[in-house]
Formats: sequence, structure tokens, C-alpha cells
Amino acid sequence: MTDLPGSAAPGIAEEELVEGSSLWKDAWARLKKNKVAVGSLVVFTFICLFCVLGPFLSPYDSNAQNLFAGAEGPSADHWFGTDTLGRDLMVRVMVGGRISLMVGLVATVVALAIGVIYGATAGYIGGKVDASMMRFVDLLYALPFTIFVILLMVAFGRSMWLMFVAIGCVEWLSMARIVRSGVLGLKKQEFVEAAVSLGYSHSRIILRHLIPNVLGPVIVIATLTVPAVMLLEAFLSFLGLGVQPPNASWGVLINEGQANMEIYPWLLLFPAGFFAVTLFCLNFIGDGLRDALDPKSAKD
Amino acid sequence: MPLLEVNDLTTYFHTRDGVVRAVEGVSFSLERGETLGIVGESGSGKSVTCYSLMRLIPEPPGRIERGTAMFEGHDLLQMSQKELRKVRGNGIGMIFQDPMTSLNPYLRISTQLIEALQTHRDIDKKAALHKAIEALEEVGIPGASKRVFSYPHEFSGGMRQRVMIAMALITEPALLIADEPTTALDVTVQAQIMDIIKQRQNDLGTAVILVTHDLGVVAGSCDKVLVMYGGREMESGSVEQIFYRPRHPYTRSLQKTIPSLQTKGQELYTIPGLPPDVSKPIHGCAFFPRCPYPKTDKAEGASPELEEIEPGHCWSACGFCDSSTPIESVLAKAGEVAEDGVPASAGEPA
Amino acid sequence: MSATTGNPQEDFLVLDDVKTHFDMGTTLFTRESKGVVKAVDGVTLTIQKGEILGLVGESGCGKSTLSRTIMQLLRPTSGHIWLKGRELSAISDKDIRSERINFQMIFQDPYASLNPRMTVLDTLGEAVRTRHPELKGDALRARVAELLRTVGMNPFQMKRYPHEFSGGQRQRVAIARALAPEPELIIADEPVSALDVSIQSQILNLLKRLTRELGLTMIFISHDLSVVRYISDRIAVMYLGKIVELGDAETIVDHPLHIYTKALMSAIPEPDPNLERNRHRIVLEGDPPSPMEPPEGCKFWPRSPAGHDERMRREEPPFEEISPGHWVSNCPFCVADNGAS
Repeated sequence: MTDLPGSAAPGIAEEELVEGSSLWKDAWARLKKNKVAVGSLVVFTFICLFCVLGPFLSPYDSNAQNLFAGAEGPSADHWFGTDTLGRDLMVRVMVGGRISLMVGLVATVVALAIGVIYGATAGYIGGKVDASMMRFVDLLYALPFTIFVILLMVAFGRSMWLMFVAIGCVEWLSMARIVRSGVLGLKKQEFVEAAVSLGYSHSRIILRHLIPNVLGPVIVIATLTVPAVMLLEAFLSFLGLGVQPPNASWGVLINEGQANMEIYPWLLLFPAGFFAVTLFCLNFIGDGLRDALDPKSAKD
Repeated sequence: MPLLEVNDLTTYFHTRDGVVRAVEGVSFSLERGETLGIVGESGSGKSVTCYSLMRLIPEPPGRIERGTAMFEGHDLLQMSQKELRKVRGNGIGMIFQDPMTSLNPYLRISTQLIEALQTHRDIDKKAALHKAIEALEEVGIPGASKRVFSYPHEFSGGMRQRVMIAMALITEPALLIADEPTTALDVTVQAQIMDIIKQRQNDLGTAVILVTHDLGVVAGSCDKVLVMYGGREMESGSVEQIFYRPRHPYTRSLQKTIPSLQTKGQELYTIPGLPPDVSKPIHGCAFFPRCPYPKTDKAEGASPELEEIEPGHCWSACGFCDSSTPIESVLAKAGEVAEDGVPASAGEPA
Repeated sequence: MSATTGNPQEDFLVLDDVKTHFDMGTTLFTRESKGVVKAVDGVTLTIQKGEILGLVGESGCGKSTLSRTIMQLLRPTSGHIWLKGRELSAISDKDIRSERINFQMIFQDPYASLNPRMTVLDTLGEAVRTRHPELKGDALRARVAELLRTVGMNPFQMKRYPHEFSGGQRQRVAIARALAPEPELIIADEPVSALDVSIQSQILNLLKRLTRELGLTMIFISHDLSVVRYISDRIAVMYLGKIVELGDAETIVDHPLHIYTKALMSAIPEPDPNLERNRHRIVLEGDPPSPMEPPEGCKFWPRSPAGHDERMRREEPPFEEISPGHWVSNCPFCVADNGAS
């Protein structure tokens, strides 16, 4: 049946084709209409730039102590003031932010990569494989997280990378569960059946037909995972298990600040303020994404 | 005074992507004991019309923009929530397309029937249960006195729809609204359900509004028909008028598309093009772009007006076309129907 | 029943006593079997090249399971399926993948059967390349354009996404996807039942024209006899996993033998008020029984208005050829002249 009727097919030039608008494009258009989310995105971008580029522009070094200028309030020289060892707080907030944001992003990306592939595979294969893969997830869930991290630290020594691994190991679990249930639902859809009946390979079906369709909720969860991970890092640092002084993260700075909160309140206010604003922004972005990606609001 | 008199009912949905004009100026009336069929394709506004009457439109985004719906002398569209609760389930009963989702899966049938009865009647539990069993017997559920204590999932689809009918009619409402009551059911069960609705209607003298896309179901059970398209009334009249003397090009076309009326071996007749997009304002006749009738001078009429051509038989006369001739002769004159009904514009996005 | 079996080497598609059962597993503690759903329970059928076979039945009669079994999306529990002399049911799960381009399926719901994240070009291009992996770029686009024209769509819309099209247009795209690997057999599973009446006939005309012009063979599944009647050459009526009547479309519609076929015919509401009011209906009692506990003997006795004697409640009626090409499950109570017009 190579001769289809009406097959006087002239070449179709790329330019003449009507461009479609993908669901991603539609979602982006909806997100742009959400003022809170867009505002949060702007603020968040600004904070990221501030933390990444700031230290290059500042005359101070984050670890350079100046005991003569210890614990000074905000001034023209030191906009955020200095800490008890005379280190410029603004630079320390920037550098601390780098680490906090990096922990948040790297751990989330790790969690995302493992969770999506693991969950999609379990859901796609189904049956006994799915059951045993998910029991493994339950097992990891049941591990007490703090003890798990302490054990890791004791066994391998304190390291920031180890912390990434530890947090990533925990966060991918919920991601895997969400992806799996999404895939289980999609698997019954006729377009997946159609893909099977066209003889596509398993990896093609998973990568092209299943994963792009569960990505919506996954992205929402990911934006909400970043702040969760940052809180976790702050918590670990607070316990002395995370980033260690003189290195700074927002968690470390807040820990230092709360020790002197009654005498030198700015030591707490600035890092805590940045941390809080970042968390707010990420949560608002996550909410905005959820609304934008909600299939119910897609025009159908 | 008719039991229900709807005038100029207009319901819009104000969505993010603009105003969806789901129902635009629909009017009809219904006497006690009568059956009105509302026919249309998906998006024609037939279901929204009924939901508007029951005030079950989600507000926002939906809004009843204007119109009146006088039911036993009171305007349904102006009622307070308190008054509405009295009418719903008591004056007007409703059954839905999907009997799987319209019963509460966690409650026994007995509980749900008794609740329906006790909400509107001052009746003790024992008497209510007795009445519930009676109601189930009347819709042909075998062993009703035992099965009344079952849960919804213990019934099959057809049996569940019977339970729904029993529940909607247990308070003996004056009006029953049935929204595609047989669409989710098998053909053999469909016939049973339609028979039961008809029989209960005769017993109780209930008026029925039957929403459906199936002209065959309408032919078998309705007295009057309202044909809707693009949210508007296209034609209305008695079932004989609509089936034997249709006037509107859409009614004529719709009748022509039914497979069982066509001779085998010929191409099926198709209405070219696509249903209108009600999220954009429609100027003039909604069916104009798909109308097979030759157009007269377009300057004659701008917006269609309802014209009564015989007592009780109205059609939306657009003034563009002369639809007094049967569709067959029009099509014969036009030569050939486009292949598969694909006009040049069929590839345009909806 | 072997009389109906065709010659696997000569006939296009041959099904020999195909059964597809689903084991519901055992209960958690007592290890009792939860039962077996006999969705398809012994179907024997021969289809010739270029034929359109209509498969009719109510929900739960096993018609969808049968279609997925022929498609090898489900493997039969027992029995054999031959397509052009090759026994599909004997090919391993691994090797069946490369066979799939020879038989394709059109699904019921055009809203669920297209991947919402892929453009029409991606969807069709991917399917075209199952047969022609070497096609790329302009050549692939030209081929996709050709496919779209075949199904009556504007090829310049190929970069659009499914949600930008109406239900009827999506079904056209789904049909184009089924045609893309250039199959010889197409199974259409209720392809019009999710569509509006005025769109239904467009798709039916299209399917009929394509089958003729491309020399395809099609199994058309529907619960609606009036639709099946129009498109099919032959009709098979299915009930509880078995075929109860099989014959030419005209024969089945105009001279049905089995009471179930008659009931199906008479359940279709006629769009004519006078006819509808005065016609005699064969009303079946109750719902179709569960395929988990099918009745013994003639599977029809619990719903039959004719009544069955003890023997037919125990013995399965034979599937016999009453007149040339007209087969029926020959139960004396179901096939007797029971007064239906």
C-alpha cells in the first residue's frame, strides 16, 4: 500500500507549517499571567544573582576576620554589619546562599533523576518487579533519616558532597512514588497501548510516551522539594552535621545568629530574612506551576 | 398555566480563555405529564440548560445571565438556596448519565432512599423504608425487600440506573430531568430503562425533560422536541412536527445522518465541517457555515428570529436560506456531497 | 466447531478456538481462587483479505478482549491465530514486536489515544519509521503530509498538538497513525462511539473508503448494529465470550436467526415516532451475566423470554451452518421462530 490516494505529495516546506502550541507553551503562557508567581520568579532570580555574583563585587573576603570591627551594626562600609569575628555579613550571606541554593538544586536534581527513572520503570513493568521495587522504597522510607545521616558522617567523615548524597537519597523516594502512580494511570491510556501495538521498544515508550506526561506534577514537586532540602540542610548544619564553620550556609549563619540574637539581632535577621524570602518565592513558584500545569485548565 | 415555562434562558461561563456562551436565549414550556426531548450534539448546551434549571451550574465560572424559569408559579432562577433545596428532589427529580458516580458508594441503598424521603417528607423511618422497598419494586428490581440493604457496587449498571430512577421519583416530583439516562448503558438495557421511565411517568403523571443526542430515543418517548445547536434553539415542536415536517436545515441534516435510515452501499450523508466554537461570539445563524441550503441574498436577515410555522412548531429562521424544500432535493441539486463530508476548511483547528 | 476453521495457509486471518482467560489470583489468606474471567471463550473465525467484519456485542461480551488478543496485546490462553499463514500466537513476546507493523488498531477514545505532548508530525513520523526507518527530514514530512491528506486533514497542521484539534480530527490523526506502518489488517475498536452523530458518519465513510482503496482488511467492533450494518461485509454477534451468530451483513440484519441478534436489532431505537410507538420489541430480561460465572449450557437461558428446558440449560448448543455462510449457535429455544419481525 505504498501508493496512497491523493499522493501527488509536493514537498512540504518547513516554513509553511502552522506552528502548534504545546501544552508546555500553554502552561508557560498561563504562568506568565500569574502575578505572584512571576514576582516570586523575579525575586528568586535576583537572590540567585546576588549570591553568585555578589562576592566578586564585594571588597571583603567571607572568611577574613577583623577583630577590630567585631559585631558592628549595619553601616555604610558593612551594609549588613559584621559578625563577632568582624567578618562582613553581606559577603557571608552571599557565600552561604551559594551553598544553600546549591544543596537545594543539586539534591533536587539527584532526587529527580533517580526518582523519575526508578518510578517510571517500576510502574511500566508492573507486577512482581513493581511490588519488590516499591517495597525497597518503603524500606528506605522506614529508615530514620537523622540516624542514617549520622551513620554516614561517622563512617565517611563530614563532607558537603556526602550531605548531598544523604539528602538526595531521601528525597527521591517520594518522587519515585509520584512518578510510579502517574505511570500506572497512563499505562492504561490508549496512546500507550497504541505505542505498544506499533512495536516501539520499552525504553522508547518510557522516555517518549510516559515520562513527558508525568513531568507536570513532577516539576511542581521538584520546586517544592528545593525549599524542603534547604530546610533539611539548615537542620543538619544546626545539629553540626552539615556545613561546618568557617564555611557558611544560611543554616550555619542562622545558627550563629540565634546564639547572639538578643545583643546583635542583625546577625539573625539578614540570613533568616533571605532564607525566608527564598522559601516563600519557591513555594509561590511551585503553586503557580501547579495551576499552570493543571490539565483541567487546559483548553480542551 | 404550564408546569414549567422557561423564557430566554442564557447561561455563560466566564473562563480564563474568554466567555463561553453555553446557552443563549432558550425558551420552552412543559405541561404536566408531558415529555420534552432536548436534542443536540456535545457542546450544544442541552445539558447546561438542565443544570441551569436546577441551579447546579458551578458559579463561578458559570453565570445565568438572564431569563426566567417559572416552575409552579415560582421563578427557579431567582430562588434563594433555601427555597431551592425544597424544590430539588421534591418538586424536581434528576437522573444523570452515569449511575456509577451518582450514588454514594459508602451508603446502603436503603439509607440513601430513606434520606431522600425524610428530607422532604415528615415520615418515620419504618414507613420510609417501606416506601423505599415499594419504590424499588416499581422500577423492577427483583427481591427489593432484600436488595434494599445492598450497597451500590452490588448492583449492575442497569440496576443502578433503576435505583437512581426510584430515588428521583420517591418523592413523586412533578418534573423529572433525565440527562442522557441511557447513554452509559448497553442497548438491550437501554430499552428496559426507557420503558421504566415511561411507565413510572404514566403512574405518577410526572413531566419529563429528556436530554439526549439520540433521535431514536426521542422518537420513541417524547411528546415535544427542542433541537439545540451552538447553545441556541434551532427548532421546536411536537415530535410529529419535528420528525415528519422538519423545517430547520440543521434538523433536516441531523435526521439525514442517522445510519439506520440510510440505504446500504451508499455513502453515509455527513454534515460538512465542525460544530461551532461557543467560546467565540456567533453572529447570525449558528448553523450557517455548515448549512447545505443555497443561500439567498445575505442582506435580507441579519440575526435569526423564531418563526412559528404551524401551531407549536417554531424554527430559528435565519433569512439566508429557503429551507422549505426537503434536503434530498437540495443535495441532488448541489450535485455531489463532498467526500467524507470533508470541506476545504475541515483541517482548521477547532 | 472445527468446520468453521479456515485453512491457515490460504486464508488471510484464521482464529481457531481462541480463548483468553484472566485469572483473578487467589485470596490473601485462604488461598482460594478468586475465579477466572473467561472474556473470550472459544472463538473460531476466518476472515478473507479485503473483507470488513463487524463484531457486535454488549459491554463485557469480550469483543475488546478479542481485538486485543488478535493484536497480540494480550496473548491467548489457548487456541491459535494465523495471519497470512504465520502463526502469531506462536511467536515469542520478544519477536512479536517486529511483526506488529502488519496489524494496527484504531482506538475508541480519540482524546486518550494520542500522546498529548507530541505533535502530529512526531506521532505520525514515529509510526512511519517503524516500516521505513531510513526516512528523515523532508522525506519523512512528505510522507506524513501524504498520510494526513489521505485521512482528509490539512497537512500544514502537522506541527500542531492533539489538544488543538476536535474529536473528529483527532480520530483522523489516529487513523493516519494506524495506516502509517502500512499494515494489512486494521482493528477498529468502537472508533465512532465517542464522537458526535454528525462526525460519526464522516469517520465511517472515511474508514470504508480507505479499506477499499488501500485493500485493507478490517475488523470493526461496535455495540451499535446500525453502524456495523453500514460498514461491514459480514457480521459476527458476540455474547459472553462466544460468537452466537455469523453471516453476511444483510442476512444478519434482515433475517437474524438467534434471539439475541433479534433483540439487539429491536433495541435500536428507530428515529420515527409512529414506527417506534407501534413496533413489537423483544425485551431481554436483566443484564448480561458476569463472564466470571457464565451460565452452563446455552449461555442465553437466564435472559431468554422463550424459556429453556433442562437439557439446554446443561448442554452447549452446537455452532452450525444453517444456510451457506450463515452460522448460528443452534439452541432450539433461541433459534426457533419466536415471532420477531
